[in-house]
Amino acid sequence: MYETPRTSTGRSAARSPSWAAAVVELVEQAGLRVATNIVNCTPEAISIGLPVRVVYVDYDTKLTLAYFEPAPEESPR
Amino acid sequence: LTRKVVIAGVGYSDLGRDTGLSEGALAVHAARAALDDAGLDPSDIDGLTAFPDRQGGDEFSGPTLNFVQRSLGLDVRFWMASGNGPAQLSCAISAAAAIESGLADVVMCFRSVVAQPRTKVASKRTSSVAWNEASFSAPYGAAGSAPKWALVARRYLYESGTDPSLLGSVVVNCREHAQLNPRAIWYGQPITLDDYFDAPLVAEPLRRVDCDMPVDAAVAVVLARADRAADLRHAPALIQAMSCAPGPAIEHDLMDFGRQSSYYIGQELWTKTDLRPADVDVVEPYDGFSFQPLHWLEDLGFCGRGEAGEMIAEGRCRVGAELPICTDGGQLGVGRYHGLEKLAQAARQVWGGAEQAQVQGAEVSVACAGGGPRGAAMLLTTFSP
Repeated sequence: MYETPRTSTGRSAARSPSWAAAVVELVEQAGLRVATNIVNCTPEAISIGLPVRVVYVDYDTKLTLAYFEPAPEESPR
Repeated sequence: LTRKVVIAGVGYSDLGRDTGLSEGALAVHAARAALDDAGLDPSDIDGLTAFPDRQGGDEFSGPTLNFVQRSLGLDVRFWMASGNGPAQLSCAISAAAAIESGLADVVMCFRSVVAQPRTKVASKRTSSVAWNEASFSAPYGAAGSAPKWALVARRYLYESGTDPSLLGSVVVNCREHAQLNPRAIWYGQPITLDDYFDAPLVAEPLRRVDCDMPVDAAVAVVLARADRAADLRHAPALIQAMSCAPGPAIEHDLMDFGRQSSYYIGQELWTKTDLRPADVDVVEPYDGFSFQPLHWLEDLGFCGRGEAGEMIAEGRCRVGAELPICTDGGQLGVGRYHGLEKLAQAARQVWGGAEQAQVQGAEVSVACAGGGPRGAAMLLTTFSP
């Protein structure tokens, strides 16, 4: 599940004019889903079922957010 | 329902982008119009309900019950408002339940909204402290209405195998019906599929025109014991069945996107009546976003999974066709009434009061509203004492 807002309705974590909000299901526990952003790829590269892996980003000095990026197939997700 | 409950009258305020009226004034205007439509006086009303209510809510919550009670001079013995639970029709559900249980005989319910500058709402939702379930999604830019519901839309399109371009047909259908309704914000402004595809994306796959236009507007509905029918100005609409089942997961933001409350309501509603989907003459499904009527039509059994988009694109849901939907123009055509108007229009259709949008010979209608786990449906028929 993902979508890519094209207008800024507030501060996105990515601070970019367009970002991909998504819900990711963790392979470690079926049914466990987290809200996140998909980063390090173009919106066109995203599809439902895309394997992703976590990447932690310091949003500011207090807040670290968990994003996901496309994962090479052999890497753990 | 064991005791019969009817929709006795409905009323609307002025509608516009900036009417200069407060949400309280809009509510009172709609309530007075509903009393007039029902042929009742304020002294006949002994119950008052709303969704949600300013008390404990935010700037989109409408006036308090207290304000409307004072303004109309009502003497009520039942009152209830909630922003949680079965969403926009919750005020009608609680009114019907109150009448059936004997807590009240004649209940006024209302919803009043005012158009807000979008930037103000968005900044408020994204820059202030996120609370409740939104604390998990807001940091990722999915706190506002369109970004959040775009996630659900994407999942619906994926699971149902619906071509995203069919969302355009929903918008065109609503805009066409808005031409039958002089109150509609898009009256005089129909839209073509080409116009649709020219509209900017707000949150993919949703375009600006896939989202309802915020307006100042209020709608009020009067429910009554069926044995009051003789006192009414016109024949009422009988509530045959209702359902507000949320499903097993009532979390809002991280719910099972593939199975919203509409699915569970579809499972329950038809167990409470001998009527079947094929008996229904007109459906008023919630359309705050264009994908929502599709899952309502499919989940309530009016067509198979993934078939609603094609059904609308083929023109089968226009007034005059086999299953008219959103006959007042829907929220996509009229503006964001926010749901209770679905019940008002479904009732008008079966008592023959839908004016230019009247579905000839309509005897059975369904109103349904909500998204995610919050939703409700009411099945109405013509009433004969």
